[in-house]
Amino acid sequence: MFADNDRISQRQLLRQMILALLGAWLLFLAGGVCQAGQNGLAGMALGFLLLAGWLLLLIRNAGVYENMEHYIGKAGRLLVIIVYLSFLVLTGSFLLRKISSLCGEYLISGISPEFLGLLLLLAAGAGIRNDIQQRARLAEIFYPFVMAGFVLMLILAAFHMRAESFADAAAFSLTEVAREGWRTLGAGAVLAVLPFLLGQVEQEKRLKKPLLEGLGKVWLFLTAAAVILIGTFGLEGVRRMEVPVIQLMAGTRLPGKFLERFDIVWLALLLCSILFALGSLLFYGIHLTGMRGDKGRIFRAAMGALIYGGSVLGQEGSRMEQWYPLMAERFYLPFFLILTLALRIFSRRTGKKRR
Amino acid sequence: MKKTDKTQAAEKTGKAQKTGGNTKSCGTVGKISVSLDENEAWLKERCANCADIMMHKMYLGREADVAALLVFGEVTVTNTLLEDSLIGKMMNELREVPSGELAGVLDSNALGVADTIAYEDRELALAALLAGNAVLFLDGYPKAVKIASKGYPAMVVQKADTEKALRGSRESFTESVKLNEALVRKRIRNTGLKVEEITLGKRSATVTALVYMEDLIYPEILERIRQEIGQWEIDGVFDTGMLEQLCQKHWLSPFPQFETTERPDRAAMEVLNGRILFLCDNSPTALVFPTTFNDFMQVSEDRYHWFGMVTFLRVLRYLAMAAALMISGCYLAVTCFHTQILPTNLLLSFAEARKGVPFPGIIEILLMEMAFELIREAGVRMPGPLGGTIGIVGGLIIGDAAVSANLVSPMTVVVVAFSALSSFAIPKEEFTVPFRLLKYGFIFLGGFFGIFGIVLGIYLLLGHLAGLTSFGIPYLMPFVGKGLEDYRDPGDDLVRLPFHLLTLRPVFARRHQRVRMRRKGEKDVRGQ
Repeated sequence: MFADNDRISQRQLLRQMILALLGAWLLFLAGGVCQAGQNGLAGMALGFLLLAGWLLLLIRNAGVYENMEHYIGKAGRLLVIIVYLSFLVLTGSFLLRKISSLCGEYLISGISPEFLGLLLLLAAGAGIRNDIQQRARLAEIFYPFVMAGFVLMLILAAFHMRAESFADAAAFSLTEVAREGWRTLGAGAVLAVLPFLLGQVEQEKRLKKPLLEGLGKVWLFLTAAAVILIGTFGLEGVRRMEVPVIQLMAGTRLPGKFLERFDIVWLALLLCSILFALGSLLFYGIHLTGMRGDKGRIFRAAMGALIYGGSVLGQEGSRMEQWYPLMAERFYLPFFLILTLALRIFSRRTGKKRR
Repeated sequence: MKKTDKTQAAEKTGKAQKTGGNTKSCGTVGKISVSLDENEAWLKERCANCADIMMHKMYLGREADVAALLVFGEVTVTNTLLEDSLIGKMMNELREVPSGELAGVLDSNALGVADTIAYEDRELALAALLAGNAVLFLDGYPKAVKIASKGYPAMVVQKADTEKALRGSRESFTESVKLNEALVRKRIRNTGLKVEEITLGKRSATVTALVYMEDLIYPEILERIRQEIGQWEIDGVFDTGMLEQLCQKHWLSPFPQFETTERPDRAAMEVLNGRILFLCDNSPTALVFPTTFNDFMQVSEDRYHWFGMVTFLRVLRYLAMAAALMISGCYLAVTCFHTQILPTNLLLSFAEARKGVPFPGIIEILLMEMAFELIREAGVRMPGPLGGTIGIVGGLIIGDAAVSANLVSPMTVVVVAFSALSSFAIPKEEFTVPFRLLKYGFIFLGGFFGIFGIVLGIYLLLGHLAGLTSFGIPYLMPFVGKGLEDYRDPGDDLVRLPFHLLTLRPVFARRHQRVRMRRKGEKDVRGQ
């Protein structure tokens, strides 16, 4: 029967990837990048180039990741899974902490961010569950709304740009470019989970195009957002803002003025994307461990509890927003890169031996 | 109506017919005796206190020396026995046959009567009797002959009542499964159209029928429905609604996983799309499956009109669906949490309208929604034109009185009325149910958490729909799944392509049977 095989299409893969990355990166990466002016933009371009290269390696290694035990042994695999899970939990906690406090501040006041975070996590988990096809279909349905909304927002925001805003450009610095590039790579560490999914995509031998297309679209979008942010608020203005994208949304209105403010709608779209990202983190957690049925449900609940606990602790002064990016850039990203290279080498050696 | 080979063979030989659900046999399987007395005694025992079952003893053959027993239901067999009816004429003919040849004449159906079957099994003969036929027993003849007559009283073909259409056939399904099968066959005169009859209900012995195009459907779906039905033992089946609930995989979901129709033209169209029709005796409503979200938003005449208008109407229906679900919740979210969205003038008029209303917004909305639900329910149950009057008068009076008494603001009445009106724009009644129910969820979410709650609601709802399938087909097709297993969009969803471009069948049809139409001698205009 139709699609009764737990496989997803390339189109679904592309849409999942964009939807899961776009909201979070628009909120945190674009804002940070634009604060570094043209160095940030160049760094982001460099970072995306490196990400594309890594992605190609991950695609080649997809089979090796799925059969990791064969190359690095049971203990090695267990270690890798633990690192991956800790990364997913930390990323989830960071995202949840950020988005719940943003919701508490901009969407609904008078309710504690902890409670909002709990609602968000419950909804994110219930929306996707453990079903790969369900997640794919959800992405396919949400994608046009979220993308159309964001594109419209950027188009409308572009009219607010002023030429003089680009005047106070920062001096070009190679170190700054490299730093921003590495930051982009750090944000892209989440791509490390992709190989575990690729085996379930149709025509898995031809995945370069959709994945590179997805990455390209996200880059274009973020670059456009960063340019518009600088063009609208100026470099100094952007540097004074905590989350510049939110300010951009607040200033963007639909023509006709039939609504006074439209930022709620943009925030709602952003929330959709981040809910999907949160749900995806839970999904990958279970997917990595390969747990099914009741075990899977229990594990998901445990993982959700850890993410929630992390986000609540993060809110009580442990300054998670500062140390999470550092962890991602200095520990997880190098670990994932080394793992990719190591698995590539192991698989080539094994291949040669077989030949 | 043609039955499947298996069924036909079983009937011809008079052997026990195996069915997907409960079988026709209701007790011990026994052969018909050569002795009429034994058969009569058995029948009298089985039909004791059944005043509506008549037994006429008579003597047949030229010499009038062969005892016979004609058994029939009182109303099911025509009264003008001797003169006009098939049974009457047959009896008259049998009186002219030499007594020694009676058995041979009946065995070889030498009288040429079209609808007779000879049964060797008592229970099958009894089942034929209870199905509305006359059954003839003959002394010295170890079989019983079923002779068809007018059968149980049923309504004739009438105008479709709940699925009104401005263009297209006016016919509606009736309460007779046989007639309904004929109404579909009338539209698809092809032996590829298979009708598989299954008797369900241990006590009701209701005839149901699966109707499908053999080469278009996925055989796994047919097998799955047979299994679903076969796993139940039920005393009576009186409507397709009972079958629907028995066979729903996601029974907790408020979204229907079977589509219903009372229009034979729609049913035939769907059969040609590779879907399966499930008919049930005594029910004028046919089930169509597998089904998707999009199917509930279409009407039969969508195919008959110009594509631009159809597209416009479909967009309107989808907007109405969203409004029916969320407008009350969004109104609460905006007025309680996000007043900054509204232009100042509108905000002031909202505030002015709410002046003097003692309840919070959420109570206001709930009061009005419940009032509308009551009016709707009362209107449905009221007989004839009184129902419509109750709806209009009730709406006007209650709305006006509630505003005058400062119980609710005029804006709330407008919002709730708009929400109710939108729910009526959803073409299928069964599909309005989830939206009518889920609306309350959105009212609470919007009322307590504003847009944040609405977004969570939308995400959960779409997540639920994304996980839903109907016999393996994703519920959100054709909006999802493009490119999966070479699936190509037929162009018949929110936007309907011009008719000459509707060359592909939907996802229900087998992968290699997806071309519905092409110019003669050409490949499919869309490249297949």
